[in-house]
Amino acid sequence: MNTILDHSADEILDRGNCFKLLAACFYEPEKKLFIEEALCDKLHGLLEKCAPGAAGHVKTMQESLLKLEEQQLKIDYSALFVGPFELIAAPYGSIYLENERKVMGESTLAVQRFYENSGLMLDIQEPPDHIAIELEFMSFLCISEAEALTTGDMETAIRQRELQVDFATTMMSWIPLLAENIQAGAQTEYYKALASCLERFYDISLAIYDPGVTPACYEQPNTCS
Amino acid sequence: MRIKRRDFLKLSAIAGAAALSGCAGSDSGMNALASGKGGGGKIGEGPGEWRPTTCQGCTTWCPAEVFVQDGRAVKVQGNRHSKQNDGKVCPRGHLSLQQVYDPDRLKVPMKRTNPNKGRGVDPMFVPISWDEALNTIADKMMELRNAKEPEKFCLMRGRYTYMRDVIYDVLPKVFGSPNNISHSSTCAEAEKFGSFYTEGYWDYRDYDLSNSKYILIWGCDPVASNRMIPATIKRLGDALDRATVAAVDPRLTTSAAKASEWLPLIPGTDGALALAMAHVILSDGGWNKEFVGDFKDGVNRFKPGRKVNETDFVEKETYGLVKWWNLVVKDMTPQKAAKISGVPADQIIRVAKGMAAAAPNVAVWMGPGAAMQARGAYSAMSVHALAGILGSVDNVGGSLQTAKIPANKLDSDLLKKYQDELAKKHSKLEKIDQRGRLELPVIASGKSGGGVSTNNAPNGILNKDPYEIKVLVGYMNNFVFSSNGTDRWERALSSIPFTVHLTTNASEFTMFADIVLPCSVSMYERYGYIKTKANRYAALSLLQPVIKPVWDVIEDETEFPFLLAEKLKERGFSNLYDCLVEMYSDPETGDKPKTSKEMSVFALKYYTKPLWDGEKDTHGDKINGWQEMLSRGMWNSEAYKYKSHWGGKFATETTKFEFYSETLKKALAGHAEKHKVDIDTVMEKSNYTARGELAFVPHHEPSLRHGSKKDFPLLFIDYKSRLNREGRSQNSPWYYEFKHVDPGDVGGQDTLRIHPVDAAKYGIKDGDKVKITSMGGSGECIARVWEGVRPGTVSKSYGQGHWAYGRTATADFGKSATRGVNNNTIIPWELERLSGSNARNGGHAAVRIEKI
Repeated sequence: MNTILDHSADEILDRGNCFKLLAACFYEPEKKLFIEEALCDKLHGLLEKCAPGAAGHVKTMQESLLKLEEQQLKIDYSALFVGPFELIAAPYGSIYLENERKVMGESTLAVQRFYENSGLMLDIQEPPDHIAIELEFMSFLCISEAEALTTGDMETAIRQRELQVDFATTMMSWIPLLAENIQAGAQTEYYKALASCLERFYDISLAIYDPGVTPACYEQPNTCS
Repeated sequence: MRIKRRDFLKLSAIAGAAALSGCAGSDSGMNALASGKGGGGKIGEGPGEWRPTTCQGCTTWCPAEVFVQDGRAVKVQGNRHSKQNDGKVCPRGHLSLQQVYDPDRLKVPMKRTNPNKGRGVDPMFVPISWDEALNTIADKMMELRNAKEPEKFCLMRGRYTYMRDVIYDVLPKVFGSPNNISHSSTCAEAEKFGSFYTEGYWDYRDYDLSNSKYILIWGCDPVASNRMIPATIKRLGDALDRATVAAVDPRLTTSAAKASEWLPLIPGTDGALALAMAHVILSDGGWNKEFVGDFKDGVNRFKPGRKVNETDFVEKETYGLVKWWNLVVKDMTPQKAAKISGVPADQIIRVAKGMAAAAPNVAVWMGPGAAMQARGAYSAMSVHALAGILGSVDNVGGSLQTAKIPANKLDSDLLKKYQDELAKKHSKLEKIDQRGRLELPVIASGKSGGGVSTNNAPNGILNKDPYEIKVLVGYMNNFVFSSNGTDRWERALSSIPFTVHLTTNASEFTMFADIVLPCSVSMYERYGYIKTKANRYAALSLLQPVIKPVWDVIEDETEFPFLLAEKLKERGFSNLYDCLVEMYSDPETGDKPKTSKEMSVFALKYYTKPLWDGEKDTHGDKINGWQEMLSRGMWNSEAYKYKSHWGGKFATETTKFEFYSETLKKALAGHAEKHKVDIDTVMEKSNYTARGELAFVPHHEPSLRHGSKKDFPLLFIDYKSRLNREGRSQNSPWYYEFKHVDPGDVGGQDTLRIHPVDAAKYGIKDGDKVKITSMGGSGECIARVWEGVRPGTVSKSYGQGHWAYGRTATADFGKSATRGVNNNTIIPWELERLSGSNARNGGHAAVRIEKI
C-alpha cells in the first residue's frame, strides 16, 4: 500500500471519516437517526484506531445520547450553537480568529477560498467557517488524499495533504477556544464530551500534520493498521 | 442546521472517494459542500460594486449604498443620487455591518419548549422547520376563525417599510381583526399633534437649514438623532457661520455644544418658555407681518398683561393670534417664564429678539423632547406656534411640509372584495389599545381614536378589555423594552396564550414568544421602500437584498403573509391567499406570484410603478423602467415649493395657520360628543389642567410628576445616542467602543450624567457605580459628573440594559443580568392622551441616585 509520511491510505481514510462524523455531531441532534446510523459506535471504532485518546469521550457521548430525550439535546445544542439569545459557543471561525464579533470576516473568505480552490461550493445557508463545514472539508481532503494514494496519484495525494496541513493549522486553530466555550456552557454530558473529543482529535491531527508538535495526548499514528 | 442526507452518516470507502471529490458526479457523501464553483470569479480578485439600498438605523431613513465584494458587505455610504444626504451617512450606517453579520442573529425558526413565560424564564427554544412553524401558526389562527373570534388575533408592528401594507393591513383585515397596532405613538405622535393643530400637518416637518438665519433646536439633537441627520451634519457647520443657533434642552446635546445659545430648561416647562418667546416677539413688534398680518393702524397694541381688541388686528395667513395673546401670551412675561422654566429672562428676550430679527428665515425645530410629555400636546403646539408668528412656516429657511411622492396606494377595494362577512364585521370592532375612549382621545388627524396608543395595549391585553388576545404576531418590534413601563408589558405578554415574533435578533419580546421566525436585516437582505424628506426634497428609496442573506430568513412584511396565506388556504381559508396574489400580481406582465419571494418583488413593483413607468410626470427624477429604478435605488422629487400652503391652503378648519385652533376645538368637541360629556371633562380625564377656551390654544401646562420631591429629588432625561440604531445596536461591539461620541459619555459603560452640584449633594464621584430608582423601577449604571446637564436633572441615553438579547448586549442571559439599565424601566408608564403617545420626556420620571 502506498503511504505518505508513513500513513497508509486506510489510515487516512479513517481520519477522513472521523472528521466527517465529527462534522455530523455539530448539526441539529437527531437521536433516532444517530442511533440508527450508529454514529457513536462508528466514531468510537475509528478513533480507537486513529486517536485512542479521543475515543473514550465518544463512549460518554453514547451513554448521554441514549439517556437523554432528543429535546434535551436540542435545547443544549441550540443554546450552544444556534441561540437565539446569548450564543454560548459560536460555531464560526471568524468570531475567534478576528477581533470583531462578526461572521463573514476576512478569515471566513479565506476559508471559502480553500473550498473553491478545491472545486467545492457551499450547499447550505451558513457562513463557510461553521465548524461542521470545516470538519467536512477536512474529511473531503483526507478522503481525496486516500483515493489519490490508492490510485498512485502521488502529486494529488501530496497536494491534498498539504491542504489539510494548511487548513487545519490556520483556519481551524480556533477549535480549542470553541471547545473551551462548549465545556463551560454545555448542560449535557453529550456536548461536553463532544468538545473533549473534538479538541483531542484536533490535537492529534495537528501532531500528525506537524510532527514537531507533540501534545501530551499524542498517540503514535502507526498504531493504525 | 439539519443533516440533509442520511449518507453523510455512512462511512466513506476508498471506492466512494470519487463521489466525494465530485468525479463521479454525485455529492452523496457530503452535506454542506458540493462540487462546483460558487459565484464565479476568484475570491479576492473581483472589483466589487456599490449597491443601492436604504439605512433604517434611525427615522431619517437614508438612501444608502453598500459596497459588496465577494458577496460580502464591507462598506456603506449614502446614495450618490440623494439630494438629501449627498452621498453621506452618519455613524449608524457603518454600524449596520455589525448587525447584519452579528453571530447572535436568529438563524432558524424556533419554538419554545418551556411553557412558563416571564422575565428570567428561559424559553428553551429549539429549532423547527419552516413548515412546522407555519403550520402551528396557521392552526392557531384557524382556531380563531372557526370560533368566529378573529378579532382575538393581533398584529404588532415595530419598524417598518411601506411594504407594511401587506402584513399590517391586508393580513389582519382579510383575516378579520381590527388589531394592527403600530409603534408610532412610541416615536413622536405628540410632535405631529403640534403641527397638525396649528397648520393641519400630521407629520414631521422638513427644515430648510441651507437658508436659515436663525435655528432654534428644541428638544432634539438633529446632528445626532431625529429625522434628517446626514443633511444636518453637513449643513450645521455652514449654518453656524451664517446663522445663530440656539438649543433648548436640559442636557448639553451635540448640537447645543456647537450652538451660540444653550437654554437648559427645567423638563416639562417648554410651553411656558415658548409662550414667553412669543410674548417678547409680539410685544416687541417682531412678528412677521407678511404671514401674520398687522394692526389696522400699524400701532402695536401687544402690551404685557393687556388685552387686545380682536377687531384691531387683521390677520393674513393665520387665525386667532389676538385670542391667543389675550388667553395666555399676554401674561407669560419672560420674568414669569424664567421662574417656571429656569431659563434666565434676559436669555429668553435675547433669543426671541434674535429670531424676530432673522424672521422669516428661522427654523424652529421642534423635537420629541418638547412634545412626548404627559402634557406635551400643548407644548408641541406652543413651540410650533413660534414658527407661525415668525412667518417661517412653509417659508425660506423655515419649517416645511413635503413634496408629493406619487407611489401607488393599497387597493382598498380589492381588500374589501376578499373580506368575508366575519372579517368585515369583526375588523371594525374596538382595538385592543382602547383608542378613542373618553380618557384616551387619541385625536390624531382630528378624529377621535384616529391614531394609535401603543403603550395602552398592555392594559387592554391584561384586562382582556375589550376582549382577550389569543394570538399575537409582532414584527421588528420590542415593545417590552422600547416602551416605558416595561413591567406592564412583561405581565401583558406573559398572559397571551400564543405569540409569534418575527425578528432579526431575539430580544425581550421574544422571551414571551412561542414561535420565533428569523427575518432579513432590512438594509441588506430584503425588498422594500420608504418615503423620506430633507433639504426640501422628498424621496422614495428602495431596500434591496444587496447580499445573499447569511441565514435562511424571510422578509417579514411580505413573505410571512404569503407563506401564512398558503397554510390558511390548505386549511380551507383561502381569502388571504387569493387577495395577495391578485393584489400583487406583476404590474408589467400580470403574472400572479408563485412564491413568497416573487410576491415581494411584484409588490415593490406595484407600489413604485408610477415613478418608473414613464406614464405621468412624477415631478421629480425621470427613471426609465424597473431596471433603472433598481440600479438607482431611489427617486428624488423636485424641490419643495415655498409657501405651498399660504393663501388659505393649510388643512385646518380655517385653512389658515391657527393660533386659536378651531381644528382642535372641533376634534375635542367630536370626542366629547361621542362620549356625551363636555370638553372640560375630556381635558380632566386626559390629565390636562386646561379648562374652557384654554383647551384650544397653545399654552403652558404644569408638568406631571411620578414621585415626591422628597423621595425622588432629581428628574430623569432620556435621549437617543447617535449610535442607536433604534434599540438594536447594543449587540454591536462598536457601540461600546465608540460610545464616547455622545457628549459627556464614556465608552464601554452605561453612563448617567449628573451635575457637579448634585453630585456633591449626594456624595457621588465620577465613575461611581450608582443605583437609580424611580416609581417605575431601578437599576445600576455609572455616574459621570459633568456640567453639561441641568442641575436637578440626570441624563442617560436609551439603549442599554437589555436582559434578553445577544451576547454583547446582555451581561449574562442566564441570570437576566444587564449591562446598565433600560431607561424605559426607569421612566414610569404614562401616556400623552390626546395623541396617544408614550410620555417619556417632560419630567414625570422623578428619580433618586444612590452610590452603591
